[in-house]
Amino acid sequence: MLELLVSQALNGLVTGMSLVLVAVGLSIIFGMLRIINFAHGVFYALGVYLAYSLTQATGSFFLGLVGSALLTGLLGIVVEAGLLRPLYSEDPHYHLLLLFGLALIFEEGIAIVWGLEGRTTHPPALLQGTVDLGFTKVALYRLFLIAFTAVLVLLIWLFLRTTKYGAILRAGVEWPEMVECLGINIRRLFTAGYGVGVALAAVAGTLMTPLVTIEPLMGNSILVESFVVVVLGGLGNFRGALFGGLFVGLVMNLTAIVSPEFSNTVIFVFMAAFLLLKPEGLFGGKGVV
Amino acid sequence: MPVEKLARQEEARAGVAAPLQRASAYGVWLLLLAFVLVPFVVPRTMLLAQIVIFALFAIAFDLLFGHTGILSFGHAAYLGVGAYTAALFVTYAPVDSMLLTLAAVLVVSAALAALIGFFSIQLRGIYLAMVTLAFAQVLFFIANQVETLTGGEDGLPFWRPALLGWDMNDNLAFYFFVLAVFAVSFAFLHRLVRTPFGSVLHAIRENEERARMVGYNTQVYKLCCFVISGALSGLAGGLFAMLLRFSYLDLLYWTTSGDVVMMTLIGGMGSLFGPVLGAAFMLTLQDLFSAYWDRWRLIVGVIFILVVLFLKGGIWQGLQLLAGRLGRPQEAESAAVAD
Repeated sequence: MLELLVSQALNGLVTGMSLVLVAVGLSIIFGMLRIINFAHGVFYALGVYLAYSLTQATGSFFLGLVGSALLTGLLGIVVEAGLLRPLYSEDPHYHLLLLFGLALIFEEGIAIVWGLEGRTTHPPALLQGTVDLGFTKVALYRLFLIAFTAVLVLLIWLFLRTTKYGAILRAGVEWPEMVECLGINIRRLFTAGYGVGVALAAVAGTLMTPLVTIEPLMGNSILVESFVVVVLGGLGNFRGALFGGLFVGLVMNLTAIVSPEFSNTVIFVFMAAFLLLKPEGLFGGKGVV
Repeated sequence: MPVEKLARQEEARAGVAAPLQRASAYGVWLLLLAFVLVPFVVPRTMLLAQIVIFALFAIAFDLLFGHTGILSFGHAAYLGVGAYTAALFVTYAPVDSMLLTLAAVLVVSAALAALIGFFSIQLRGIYLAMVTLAFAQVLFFIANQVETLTGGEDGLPFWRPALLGWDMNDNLAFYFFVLAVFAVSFAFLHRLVRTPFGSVLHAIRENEERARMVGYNTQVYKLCCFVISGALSGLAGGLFAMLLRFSYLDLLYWTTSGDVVMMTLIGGMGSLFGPVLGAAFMLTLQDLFSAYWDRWRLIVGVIFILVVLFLKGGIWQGLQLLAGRLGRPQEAESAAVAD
């Protein structure tokens, strides 16, 4: 029983850390552009497929990971500059609608390019095998995933907290007009922010690929789960994404011990409770970091 | 608020698009006449019934979005639950009655809308859209899991109940019944948005703070709006399942929520006629392309994005602009510039 509990908790950390990356991206985009990125799930799926093809072509998982993050980020920049920017003067509903349409187009595009059949991949040779923790054995890849995302999240936090650009970003979220008056091109930074946000989704997706089946609709459930994460943690907040992601990951995997069928329903009960008791989320309205 | 802007543009255009305005006064009757006659011209009753049913779904959605300014991205919940309620009621209830089935559908979907609405209206705007989507996905997950009740991925086949003793298995007869339900619902909504209740909904769309300061309990109005919209969406779901004699999981999936959003936007929101046009447009497109190309939604996505970027009032606004241009070219030019 204890072994099951520990292994499910570890699985929870794996799902959770991946969700943290997705939610941090969602939060960065929301913090800066005040839009909820409905296309986040499809960028996640696109990142997975790009990484899959790059890995097949180059034979290196890590080249695939970096390449797909860069390509997805680039595409995000094009989308923000080309399609979202003309809508900033309009009602925020229109961003959502545009992103939904875009998600539909990308989803169909993925199905056209890569087909509908599911695919599976293996972890890179370097990360195969298991580690004996004494009381239980764990796949090395899962430990790697937890450590890798933890370092990445820490780096993002340090970037926002300690660097000049991080300070500009935080200031831009608080008061964009003032930052522009100081002679900083905040628009360009926001465009970059959208690119980074969707690139994080691509990284999160790529890291999960050896553990799940790849299929064109895989981004949809991630999108909805990340919505729950940001409702729990508070949208646009870094700590909220971290807390919410880990919480949702753990709750889903621990519920699976008792009732595997309802493991992805139970998080919505928490969401409903938060909506009634604390609609702004745990860390809502407390700044970016 | 662009919705507000749209309304103003519509008023400003009232003089411009005179031919269409005059037509729209009789529009309801023209629309009804067209729908009555069309099955004798185009013998595609299944497709036509589907168009009328989704037109009902779209006008129900538009009451929330076009008239109250609430964007629900989870309307699949009501359509799907309406469909499953119909299937289960027909299968298990001891009576064989279409009207009782639809009554059950109305009650269940209204109750569901009250529940989801109650939680959702704690948030506003894009947050609300996000949360409604999440709630609809819960129902999808649940329906997928309780296979004994819903049939899971296999769906739930059933039969068409009789209407007051009349056999409804003939598709043309069922089409006219669907049309009657649609006409009553359309008339109800057409009237509703012109009552003081409707004015409060419009006030909430324009500026919720102001509506509350004037003394309206806007939460109650929004919840009522959710319930009416959800109940009529459920009705559409029940009718659709009875049309196919089948209820299935995809009806609950979020692409269904997306479909109704796209129909309404492409047709033209806030106008009641627009959503009907949008439903007809999208389902005709599906009918034309889906047999040859599985990825036909790509076309819909592109059209939808073009509408969002360039023609926010959809086909209906396009028609008005066109009618204005035909009627009085000079003023239409200036109206187009004012956009």
